[in-house]
Amino acid sequence: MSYVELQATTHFSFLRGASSAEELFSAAALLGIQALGVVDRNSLAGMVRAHVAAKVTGVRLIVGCRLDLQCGSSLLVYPTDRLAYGRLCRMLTVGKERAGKGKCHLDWRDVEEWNDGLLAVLLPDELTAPLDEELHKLRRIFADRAYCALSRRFLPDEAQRLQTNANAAARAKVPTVVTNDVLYHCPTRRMLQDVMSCIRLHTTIDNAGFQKERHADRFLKKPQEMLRLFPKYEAAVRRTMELEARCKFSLDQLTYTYPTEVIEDGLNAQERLEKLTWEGAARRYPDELPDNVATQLRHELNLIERMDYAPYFLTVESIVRFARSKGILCQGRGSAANSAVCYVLGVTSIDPVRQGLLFERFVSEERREPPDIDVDFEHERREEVIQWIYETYGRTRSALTAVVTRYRAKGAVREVGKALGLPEDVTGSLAGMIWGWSKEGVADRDAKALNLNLDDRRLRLTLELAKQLIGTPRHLSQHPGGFVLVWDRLDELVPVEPAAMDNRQV
Amino acid sequence: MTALVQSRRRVLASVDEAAASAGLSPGMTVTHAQSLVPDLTVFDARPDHDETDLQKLSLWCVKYSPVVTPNPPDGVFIDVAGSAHLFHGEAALLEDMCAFLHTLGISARAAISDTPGCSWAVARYGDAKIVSPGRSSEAVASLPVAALRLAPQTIASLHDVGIDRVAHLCSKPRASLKLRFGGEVLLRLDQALGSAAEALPSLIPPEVPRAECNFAEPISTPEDLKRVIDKLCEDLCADLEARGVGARRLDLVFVRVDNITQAARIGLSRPYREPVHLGKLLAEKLDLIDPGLGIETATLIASWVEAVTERQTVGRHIGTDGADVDVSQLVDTLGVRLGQNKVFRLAPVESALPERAVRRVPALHPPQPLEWPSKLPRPSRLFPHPEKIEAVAELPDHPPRLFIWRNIRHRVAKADGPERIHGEWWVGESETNLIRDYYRIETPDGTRFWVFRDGAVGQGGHWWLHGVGEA
Repeated sequence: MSYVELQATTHFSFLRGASSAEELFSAAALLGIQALGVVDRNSLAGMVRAHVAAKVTGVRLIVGCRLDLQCGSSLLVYPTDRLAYGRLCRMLTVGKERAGKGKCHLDWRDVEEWNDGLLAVLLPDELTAPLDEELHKLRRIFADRAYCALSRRFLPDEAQRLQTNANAAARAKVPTVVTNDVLYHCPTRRMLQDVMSCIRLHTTIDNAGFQKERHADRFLKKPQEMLRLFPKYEAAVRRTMELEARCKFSLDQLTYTYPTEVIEDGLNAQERLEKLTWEGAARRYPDELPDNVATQLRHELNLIERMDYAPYFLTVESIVRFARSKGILCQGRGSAANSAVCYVLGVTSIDPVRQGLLFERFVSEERREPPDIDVDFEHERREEVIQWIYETYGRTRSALTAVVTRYRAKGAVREVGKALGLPEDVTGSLAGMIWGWSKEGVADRDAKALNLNLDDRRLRLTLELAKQLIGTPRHLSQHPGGFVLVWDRLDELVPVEPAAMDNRQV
Repeated sequence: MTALVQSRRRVLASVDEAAASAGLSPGMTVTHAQSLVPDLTVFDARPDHDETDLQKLSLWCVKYSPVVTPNPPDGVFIDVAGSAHLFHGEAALLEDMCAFLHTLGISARAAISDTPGCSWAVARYGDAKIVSPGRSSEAVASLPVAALRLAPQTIASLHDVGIDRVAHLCSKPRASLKLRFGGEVLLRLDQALGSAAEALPSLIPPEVPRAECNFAEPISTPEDLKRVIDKLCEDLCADLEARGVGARRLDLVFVRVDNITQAARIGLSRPYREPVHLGKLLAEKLDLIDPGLGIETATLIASWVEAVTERQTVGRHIGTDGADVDVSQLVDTLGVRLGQNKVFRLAPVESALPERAVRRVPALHPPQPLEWPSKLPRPSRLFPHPEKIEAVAELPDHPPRLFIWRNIRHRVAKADGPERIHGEWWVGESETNLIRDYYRIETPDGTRFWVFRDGAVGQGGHWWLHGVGEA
């Protein structure tokens, strides 16, 4: 093995990368690439997908991020361990907080502050400042963790450019490393990438001109091919392996830590949950606690103790208690109704024992996945609850979850049609043929029904490319009510960004 | 049928008879129309072309009367009052005109009446072709109010109050009509009925600037002709100056004693009225003139003039102050000698394909802000069509070692590349998989070539030479 790809961009670099992590990783597996460095622009949003894809394909994921600094320089960073990953998240959080929703403002000072444990690769081809200066900065900050990228662009004077970069790197004592700056997994995706550029730049393919990605061949290539393309820089090709070896971090090392409830009277979480449960049981069954209920409660508490879920139950209980105390209507729903503990804590209002419901449907040892208690809050006063959570748990430990807004068939047809210069009434009527979450896009028969000429090449391309665009993330937005609460700093687990709404963060 | 983009939708701008009988009407969206009529042929509406075409049609109508006025968007007024007798009466005139228009592929409706307004109404909404004198009010009474050349919103508001026919409108008190709908309704009504006059401006262009010389003794020597040209130029330029215009096109017409006409024409890159310059340009054309037995009359006509905004100055010589060199006279001289279309400037186009990255613009076209990317050097001479060459190169993407172009072997001393250029897939199917690897190569004697390979050799790929010279 001689080469791993360190610079692969997924479609979580919105409207730049044209392939999903799944596509990139399966292509990498076929090409014999053993590890793939995923570097999206100022974002880690695609990491979970990439992690899953890596597990499925057996290609190792190297977690990374492309930092586009305010000064115009760009560098790739890769955390070597869990702590470095935490620092990267903190840095992105700071940048996002500074820039507001959807953007990220970072500069060299931030990089310097959070650099510990990160490997950095400077991208020398897109600099606005002199290369030597940037390399010295990099060397000063990252010392032996600094690298300089060498990439083929298939443009004139390539050999000279590579040599200039390599020489500058050698002067600054920064080793070089080869990357392929991948935007899509296979050559045929170039068309979609062009269309995405048009959508991003709000233009049409005929007018985009030189704004499109100029240099081509940005698909994954075999390690042998990469060696062949860099005959004079074999060491830089092989050095990708060194980086891969140094990046020991994997998303597996992230474990969820539940927030601890404020401890009173010296009880730990489990003891406290048990206390509250029996108190609650006494309230629910004022006369006498039926035997079967008591058995069920003991069974559930047992399981909760073994799985160490007590803090989670306590958190939900305290949120519900707050809501009730303010007179905000709330109601547990879903699988939580299977739990007698939830019932006696007042989270749900159906007695599962009397209804003969199974607790195992809610929490089970075999599944080993965390329980999920959905609580509905009164719509108008939900914000009060959200703000109380921020206050109680602190903004460093709580945030709404983000959801990824993806292209649906309708939007995909509309946007691709616009980029290809179709008149709006045509794209409009095409989009009108689609209902909701169709995965198929517009079928030929639908287009025929509109009396549209399918032999028209633009129209056919629109339908084809729109099909490819369906499911591609467009931007991040906030989950209507999902909250993430953690015990230690949340911004060391994931990047946190401010939301468009006042006083919320995602 | 034509369509027009209107507030981001494509709507029908006009329909022909076949389309109208299929139930289509202007204002409908194209998608709606297409769903009603399969295999619909739609052309993009070109309002600017329509206007010039109407102008041309009007000029043709001058054969029926000197007083012709185009009536955009789709009409022509002809005052045939004094000329119908030349065509054996009004009916015969109409027939002659419609027959000729039909051969041009134009379906026309025409009517003759006392007033332009009445003719307008009857031609569009009536059945009669000829309205007898004094019968205008009867002819329009039964027609819809739309026949009165009113604005669409006025027609709509008349409909709102239940006035559909012209007769209905006539029965209303004039004062309240004016109060409610403004003066337009009354004016158009009066114009149709003949109680208000409507003047038709004549299309015949204002007198064309011209200068003429008659000779008592026919002239024929080139020296004489040159002198005549200079004289004509002086006269004409004085006329042009008085009018505040300059010539963009000059026609020089000589009438020989045997009554045969000899003509020369020159075009100018911007309006001129500078006699010396014009005289020089015209003299270039003298060898086209065969004076035969002698020339009796010489006429110089400025058949195309444009306003001159700045005062004419004699062209400066290149390099006098560097900043803003006036090359227009040079451009004219070259244009006259080589042909107008052979003098041009090249402008960049944002395209990756080299042959598409350039277009011709008029020589005096103002330079554009767009420039070719400086990082992509191109040869000083790019062939319009690449020429096939035989080349020996290492696989898969190395530059050639040697190549044969026009039967001459060239050894390659130095090379750079590849610059990989992909086809523009949105232009055509054939370009989807087009990949060209371009190499700049230099032979031992220092000659530079620009060659490319369109795909792997052995898989249908060939080597081509696309340009020569320093890059």
